[in-house]
Amino acid sequence: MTPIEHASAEQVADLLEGNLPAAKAMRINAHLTGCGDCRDLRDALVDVAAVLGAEGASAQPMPSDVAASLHEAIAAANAETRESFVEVVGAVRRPSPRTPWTWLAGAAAAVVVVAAGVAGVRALPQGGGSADSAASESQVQGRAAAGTPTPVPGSGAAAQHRGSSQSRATLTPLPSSTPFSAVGPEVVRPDSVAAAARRLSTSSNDTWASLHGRCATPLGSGHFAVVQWLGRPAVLDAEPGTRTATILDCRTARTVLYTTGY
Amino acid sequence: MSDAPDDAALLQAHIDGDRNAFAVLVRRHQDRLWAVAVRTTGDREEAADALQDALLSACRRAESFRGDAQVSTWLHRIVVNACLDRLRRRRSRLTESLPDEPDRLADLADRAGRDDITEVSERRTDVMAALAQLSEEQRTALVLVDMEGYPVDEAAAIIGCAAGTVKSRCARGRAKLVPLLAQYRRNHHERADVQADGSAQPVGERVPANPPAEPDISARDTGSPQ
Repeated sequence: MTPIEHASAEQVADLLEGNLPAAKAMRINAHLTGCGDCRDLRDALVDVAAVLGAEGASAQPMPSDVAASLHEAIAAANAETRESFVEVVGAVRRPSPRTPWTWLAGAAAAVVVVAAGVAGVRALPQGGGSADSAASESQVQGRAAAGTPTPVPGSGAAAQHRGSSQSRATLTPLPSSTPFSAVGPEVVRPDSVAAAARRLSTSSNDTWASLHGRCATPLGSGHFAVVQWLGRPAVLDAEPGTRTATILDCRTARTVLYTTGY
Repeated sequence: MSDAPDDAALLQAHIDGDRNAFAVLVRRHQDRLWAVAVRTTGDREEAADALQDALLSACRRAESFRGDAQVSTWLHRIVVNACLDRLRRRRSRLTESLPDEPDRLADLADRAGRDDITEVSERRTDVMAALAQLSEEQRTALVLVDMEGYPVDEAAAIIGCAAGTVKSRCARGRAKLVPLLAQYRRNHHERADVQADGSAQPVGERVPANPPAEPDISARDTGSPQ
């Protein structure tokens, strides 16, 4: 065995942390056996970790002023995001005279979503049994018939009955080729849209929307949410510029189920 | 409170629109997140700003939580990233800031520790000043592993690097700290000598959850892969 000169602090630290190849570790260990100075270095490294551990264990709670301003900011963020959606969601629940939706011909191909928003909107129990629900349903079926791909087995009839345990639609994620792009800090990908939809379809409570945020369309940025629409997950795409809200089939994010002004 | 929801349930409630859930989640972890932030940045104001940025971002991006890690790990990760971002921005702003660091850190440690007994306050000063001499990467690794007691794997998940990288950064950081904490270590040993015979026992008030170094070296290196 080749004797080594004194070990460096880094070598001994690596040895202690198990970072060294076996042969090198063996050489340094052999050296430590016969070298008091290097054993002392090893002990010093053990002490360093112990000192850090002792300091780490001593309490350092968040100061009350920091906590107060943090929670104020969180409350404000929660309120702000919800309010931006209350208007849209409320409008979609109460359809008004329709606005043309031709602009969607291009836009619907790419629901570009950015999770700048937070959380979902509970509120507004799904369905509601109101007249507008019935009216929109006939429209949905008219539109959906035109472009919806093969229905997913088990999602059709069952989806008409909210709360039914059978409303567990099998959702096909958007094709990965969907041209998503970002206008904010984070892109929500097709699989997260599908995951949000899946959550909605298996949710037993009155959750109406999930995964909402801002989205970019060719006409500018708008609001986006995955919502329950007639018992099945759908994408709500709201465009403040034209004050148009559109509900898209969640499986494709292309098929327009419903559109309205707000 | 008897049937408190777990972190994942709180996050889901937040995603589902519960206005209070996220605040409850934050209250549950805020002291630990604060400790990480203040120890990583070494600055009270930077820590407060980074923490607020990070948690607001987590609040808005709750949907991006994938469920493949603990919620607390995810929160730590966002906070650590925010702290490192701020440190990098500060470094690019102030190229000549090093002379100020020890004073500012001592001041911070003094304020933070004013309710503590003197000994703990002194140690805090020493440790904070010493940590300030490390690279951001080394400091972050040591804060998480040695100070907060995170297992290496979880620290790696928080930082977003390989476990081996965390181990390497910890080793390099500890090596640099040996001379910086030498004075402290002597005090440490004088006290230890009262009860021990001078052999180097780690006599910290707490054994880190993941002891980074054990006196029994031969037992450690048998399993070292590379």
